[in-house]
Amino acid sequence: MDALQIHRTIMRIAHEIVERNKDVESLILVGIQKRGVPLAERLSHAIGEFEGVRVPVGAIDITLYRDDLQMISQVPIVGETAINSDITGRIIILVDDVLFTGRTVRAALDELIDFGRPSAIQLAVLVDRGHREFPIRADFVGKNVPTSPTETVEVLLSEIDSEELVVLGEVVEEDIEAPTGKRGGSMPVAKAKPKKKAAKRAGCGTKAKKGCGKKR
Amino acid sequence: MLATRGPRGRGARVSGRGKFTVPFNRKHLLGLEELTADEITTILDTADTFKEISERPIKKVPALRGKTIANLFYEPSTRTRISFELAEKRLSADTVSFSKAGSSVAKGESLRDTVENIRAMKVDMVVMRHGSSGAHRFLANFLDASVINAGDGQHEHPTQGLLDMMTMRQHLGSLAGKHVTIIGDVMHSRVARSNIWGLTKMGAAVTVCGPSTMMPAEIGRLGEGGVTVEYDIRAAIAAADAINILRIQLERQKARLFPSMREYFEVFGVTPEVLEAAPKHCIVMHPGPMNRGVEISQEVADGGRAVILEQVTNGVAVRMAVLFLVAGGSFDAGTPE
Repeated sequence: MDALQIHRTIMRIAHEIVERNKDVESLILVGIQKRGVPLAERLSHAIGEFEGVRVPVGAIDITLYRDDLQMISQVPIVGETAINSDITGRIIILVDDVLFTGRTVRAALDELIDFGRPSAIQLAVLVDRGHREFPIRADFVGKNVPTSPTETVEVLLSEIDSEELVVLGEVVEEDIEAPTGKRGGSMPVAKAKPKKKAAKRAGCGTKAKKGCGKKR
Repeated sequence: MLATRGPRGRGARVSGRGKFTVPFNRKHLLGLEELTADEITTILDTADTFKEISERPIKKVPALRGKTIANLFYEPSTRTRISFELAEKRLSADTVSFSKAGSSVAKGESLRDTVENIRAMKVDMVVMRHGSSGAHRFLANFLDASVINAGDGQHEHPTQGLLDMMTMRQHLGSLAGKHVTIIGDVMHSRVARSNIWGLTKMGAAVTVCGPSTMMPAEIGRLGEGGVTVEYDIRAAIAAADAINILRIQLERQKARLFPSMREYFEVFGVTPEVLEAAPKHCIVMHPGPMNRGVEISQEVADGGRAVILEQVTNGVAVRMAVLFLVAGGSFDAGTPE
């Protein structure tokens, strides 16, 4: 997906959210750190434009709720959590970039209900890549990307990265650090190198990759 | 617009994609002397994010669920002990507290035996305050558990140093290039030593001030790059961005280290009048408990420039950060530092 496709997809998801939820005033968009947060911001902005309602945006960092904290070999960075409205009785739209095993979303659910009792929680993701390990599903999906377990999907957003792109990559064996599991829990730590298929890229070379579309 | 309430100065450490670890791999926290500036920054940044947890409706995260932490306090402490206990509980750890009075120590049990017993109960971390400098290093060398120093003799009180730096950072921005003056009984103060190590590593300029009877001869050489020694309080604070006032222990007066409490207050007490010699933005800190009317006047203690209660709030956050980082770093432990 390139920048234009990402933009259109976000617009479509924003419309779907409003279509599903009659009471737009009761919505709160909560982005999962890191890349769920700018996506939540964009959704709020979009809804504001065509609905005229300002949906509040929050952020949660799920690091402390991960189920693999005792197993991973190094301490992850804990990001910011900021939920500034009372969530009790509201409808939360959880937003993340990629839905994979579902463990991140499980952690997010546990963390959210420590803040209050929402009337509903719905999930919006930009990419669903399959391989669920928990009974979790998204309510709003940008794009379904079937993948194999050795592939990675990375979403690059201009707020955080220097470009705007969804990249399909391949796990590089020597970069795996975590001692347990395929990739040490819910977060793939491997670097992605672009497969030939990802010639959908507009340009070459982020810091992790050298050369365009070359398999190494 | 994202409504944020959050840490400052974290930008530089946002990692690249695929790398999400922080530079902190220590099994113990025995002092600030052995830490690097990066490690200190990591702790302070983590503490900033943990501060938010104490403001949630449910002040608990499951990060240390299932871990058992023993608090061994061989010296009396209310504030530090409660702060550690709260930090542990807010991370969902199980805590056991032990204080010297009414325990087996009163019956003559040695430190090592007490700890061996606790070790046999499979404790993951030990937080200890002890009257002998170096007791923690002794412990770290034969325990499997992680050891966190809550104060050892006159050596270090690292979590106090860290919470002091966190408070300063919040008010002053960064610590590099800032001037901090520590006033009081420097000779007997582990708080002063931890402050000196931490602040000099972070690039701050430290001045110590107090009666010459309570100022060690070689103190000017402590820390990274040394500290300035000053005996005139107004000169000591003339350029200070922060003042840290140490508690005067009443026993020292009995040891004839200064003539009387009154005289100490006259010469070294921080009063509103003395503060006029300091820059307007200068903040006033104190590790507590305060002796009002001895090292600090009533007006200053309750005044607008004192950030003493913030230090207490930050203390819980810093201790949560330390416990979290040390628990996570224990997997990569080699020999104790």
